[in-house]
Amino acid sequence: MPIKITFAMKSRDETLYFIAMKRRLTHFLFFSVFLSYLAVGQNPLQKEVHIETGIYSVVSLLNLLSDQKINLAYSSDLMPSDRVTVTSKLTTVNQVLKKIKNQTGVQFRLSDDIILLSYQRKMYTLSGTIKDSQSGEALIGASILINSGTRGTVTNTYGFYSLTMPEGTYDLSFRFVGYRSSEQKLKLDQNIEYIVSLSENTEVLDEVVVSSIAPDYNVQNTIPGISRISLGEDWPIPYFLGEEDIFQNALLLPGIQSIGEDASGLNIRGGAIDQNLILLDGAPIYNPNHFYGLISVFSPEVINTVDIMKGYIPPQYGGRASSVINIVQKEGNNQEYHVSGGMGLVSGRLTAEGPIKKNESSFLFSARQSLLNFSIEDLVNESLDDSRTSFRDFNAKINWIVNNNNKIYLSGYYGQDRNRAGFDAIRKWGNKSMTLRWNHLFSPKIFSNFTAIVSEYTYQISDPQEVGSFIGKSNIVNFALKADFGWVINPAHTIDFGVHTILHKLKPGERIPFDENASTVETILDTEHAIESSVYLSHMAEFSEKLSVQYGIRLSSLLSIGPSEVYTYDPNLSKSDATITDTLNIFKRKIHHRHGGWEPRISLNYHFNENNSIKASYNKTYQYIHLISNTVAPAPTDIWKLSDSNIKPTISDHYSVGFYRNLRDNKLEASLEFFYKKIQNVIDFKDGADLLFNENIETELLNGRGQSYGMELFIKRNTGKIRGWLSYTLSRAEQKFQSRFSELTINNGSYFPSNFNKAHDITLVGVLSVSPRVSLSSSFNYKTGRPITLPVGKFIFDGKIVPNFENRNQNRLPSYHRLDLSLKLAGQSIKKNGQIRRNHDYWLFSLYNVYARKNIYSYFFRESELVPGTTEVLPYSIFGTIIPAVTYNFRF
Amino acid sequence: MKYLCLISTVLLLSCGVSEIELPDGTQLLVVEGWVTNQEKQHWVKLSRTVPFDDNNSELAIEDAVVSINSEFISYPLTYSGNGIYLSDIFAGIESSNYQLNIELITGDLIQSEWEQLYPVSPLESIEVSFFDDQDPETGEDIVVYYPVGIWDDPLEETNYYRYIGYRNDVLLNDPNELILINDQFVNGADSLPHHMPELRYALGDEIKLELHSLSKSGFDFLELLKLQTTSLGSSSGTSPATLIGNLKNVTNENQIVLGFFGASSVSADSVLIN
Repeated sequence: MPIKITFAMKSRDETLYFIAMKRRLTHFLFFSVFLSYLAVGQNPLQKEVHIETGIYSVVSLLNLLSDQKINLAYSSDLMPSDRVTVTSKLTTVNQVLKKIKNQTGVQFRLSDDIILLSYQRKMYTLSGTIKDSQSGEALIGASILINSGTRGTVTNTYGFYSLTMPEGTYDLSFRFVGYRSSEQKLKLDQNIEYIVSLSENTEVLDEVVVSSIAPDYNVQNTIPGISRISLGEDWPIPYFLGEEDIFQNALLLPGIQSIGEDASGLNIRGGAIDQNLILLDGAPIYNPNHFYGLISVFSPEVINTVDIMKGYIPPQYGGRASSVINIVQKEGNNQEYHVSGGMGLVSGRLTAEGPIKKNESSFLFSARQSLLNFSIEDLVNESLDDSRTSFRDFNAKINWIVNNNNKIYLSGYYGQDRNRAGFDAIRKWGNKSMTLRWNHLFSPKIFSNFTAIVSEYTYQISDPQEVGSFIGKSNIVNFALKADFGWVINPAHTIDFGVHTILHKLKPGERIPFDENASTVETILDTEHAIESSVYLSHMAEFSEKLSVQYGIRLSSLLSIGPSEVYTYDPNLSKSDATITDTLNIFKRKIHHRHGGWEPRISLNYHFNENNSIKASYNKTYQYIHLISNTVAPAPTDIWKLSDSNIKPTISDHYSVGFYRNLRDNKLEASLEFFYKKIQNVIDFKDGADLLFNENIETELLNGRGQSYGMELFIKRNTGKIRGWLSYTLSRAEQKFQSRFSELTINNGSYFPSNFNKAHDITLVGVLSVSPRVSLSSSFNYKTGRPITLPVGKFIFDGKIVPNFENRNQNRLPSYHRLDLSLKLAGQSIKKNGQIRRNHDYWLFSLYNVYARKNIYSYFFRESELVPGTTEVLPYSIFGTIIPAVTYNFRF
Repeated sequence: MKYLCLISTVLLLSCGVSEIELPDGTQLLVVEGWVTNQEKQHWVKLSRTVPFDDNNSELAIEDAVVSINSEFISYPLTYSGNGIYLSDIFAGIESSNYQLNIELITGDLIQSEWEQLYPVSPLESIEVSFFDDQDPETGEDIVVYYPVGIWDDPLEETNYYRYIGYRNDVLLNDPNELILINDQFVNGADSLPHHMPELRYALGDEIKLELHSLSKSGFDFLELLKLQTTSLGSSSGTSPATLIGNLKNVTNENQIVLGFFGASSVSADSVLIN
């Protein structure tokens, strides 16, 4: 901001002269004083000037004054562009300045013989929501750009934006990818509420397409490591059995991996699968898998956006060490009724949505049911007899716009899986949740959200045949209350703060007789109770056009409360039933242990220019609930356990830095990120751990450390005839378990690769739009094989050949690679009579594992059936053949 | 650049599954032995681990000095071939404690923990049940018969059991035919039925069952053995583990000894399927 200061040369000379004169002759004093008064003593405001009548801009008028030797100090950038009308000749400085003040509000004052001019523009707020013009669905992450610069803002999870700017006229551009942008010239001379409706770019589709966010989102957004999933008909990439799925899609992005087919859960940047906080409209989901981890519980038709935060996690989120997967459901079209659905080999689904009261409230209801009910074994062995595996989901959401400042949402989810295990046992598991949310605008600048959530995850196994037929159950119930506030001070500063609290009621296991004839005794493990709370404060600041920062602090805690039995162990011996020194009986609602910590978060974004930026971030997160599993690949039978006096919380420190670049006018987005993560208190099991209904499971656990680091390259083409992306992750994830007790030490206490460590992970996805109705897509995946422990020897015990192992995970399986193809054929969009066809449908033909590679999932080490007495290493593949699938989807 | 990508892709794709090279490991001592309440010659087997791809599956130890000791008596064992050492005829006494002592030719002394010979309630009877299945080779529908063992479980203590099955006097010894029971969920039950569909019989076979009592450490060891021989590698597989039992090398503490020395009481019964 340059300050222009004008000095009239002559008066300065005269001042110096005055000083010189004073020194010489005192009898010239009076004359000198008179002279100096003439030169500098006269009030500058009273000085004579000549301004003719006319219309002048403020700046040109001020220039005229300084031409006439008037000392003015002002910043020309801050002067208003208004015009001043001079109707009669002005003769003094004061007259001129007063006229300027009356007509434009420019203030002036005298300070040490210099006239200071200032202009304080009033600030007003422009706020509102950006929606889809057809359905009324909020557009999340839509951008508002000011005066075609890079300044502006983005809509939040509710489609809400707020811009506080000085009074003036602005050229605003409202944009969202896949939609026609809206340009508006707005005069901001008061607080304005401005609701924007954007229409989709494509002609025929009724479906909301959410592919990527605003074209320069990846450059503009302060958050590094955030991935948004490209879902919907616009990205008809090949999925397993033709079932579009969020998690299958996520695996195609950098930094996100899984152990393999038939293993549930995502490993994000070297984190275990329980380190991802999965939120469905704010409710935590504990087991997001149907069907062996190949299909998630989230029905893509009802999903609006999925954001995976794997780099920087904003302070409002916490509780898991590696990532947050935030899934927001659609709200339902509040103008028209629609029914959509589809059917494939695996499942059939149906969604209905529409207004309850047009433009004011709407509903969305969706159901999905598995068909054919086969298991993976059946698929591989090509036999489809007896009902083995089935699942179903229901999603419902209602929202009501009470008035401009209040909106209420009620959403629910119910899911059930069923699977046959062993000879006659049946396993069932499922998530249920209900969320009630109230959005309230205290003012155009203060946005708030109050949420109440109830959720439950249950797992049950019933066996009518075994010794004492029984039903075994375990479950986790959560009650949560959240209050979140956002204060948009101006486009450069936003403050977010809030409080969350969750009550956990965790039943690790209950085993009751199957019926009155069973000889089972009832075994009920104590329910664990804990309250997990957090409070956070964050500030998003734009220091200049180039530098912006998002930082904040979160304070989280876990209070373990009774009733429960707490065991204390002899600290000099490793924990076991034999080393219990004391058993405390805690009363109801009494706090018996506290864990907690500060979680600082910071993320910096520096734009070199519109197309290039660099981002760096740091997160610290505490995790108080752990998934205990003693299988290599996670299974629905794994147990959740809260931290307490014997189990410490998992703490992660995550550093990342990334370079982001948009090429060719935002058609190509590219990023290169580096990360390093350090994890304390990683939990694993002792060999042969007894997990079944164990009252003191801490005696079977090992405590260690983990670290992971790597590089992620991502290049994506969003538009054009050929679209797609390339994702390459080069990383390492390792752990170490070291203790003074040998039974708690693995691999002599040195770092060894984690079960999910894969050095290289390359994905190449392409979509070719052959014609408006036909598109071809391919997905190629190459991954380093996961680590494996190979036997170093064998022996015979009890007549059986037993493999012997030494150090864990020192070898690797062969590499995994696979090519999938799909073809999308959309139905006619125009009927024969020229009208637009109401039913919009398409067929999807997909081929999984096109060159039928038998990717090795693991090895069996066993006695050869052909030559008894010798052993062999047998590779085991889950899908060794090509698997075709057909899916039909419709919407009307 | 483009050509480099193309060539490397082709090379990657053409890499088939290569021969797996198994790592080398230290050779470890393996001990197996049981003391029972049956009047017979008891045996202890000593061997060493061999590389996994060896044609032989064990290496016998022929020159050790072995004895089973109770609190009062020491029973020496003599080598009888194939790594097996036999004692004179004796019967273990219920509620007595026994320890295995081995002196290797190197001078190393190996000792087990003291194992208690727990009593076992008698096997009351064997019922026979069946289910329909398909013959794995011919695909024909067949009827598979299996035994249901019936016994009483004492209430006062935690009991661990193993059932061993014989078909027409031939020991059923596949890894999935290892049957272990823990009374955690059925404690104190009378005439407890235990279904064993893993033991498969046909019409006309003779079923012989033995019910063995086990200590907790014996039970844990055999459970680990079962997991390591049945579920490694499958999609719900456990982590590979080392089968360290209740034996220790007293002379060189950091040398691992694999295997187990246990004590059981045995109760047997048999039935003919007709």
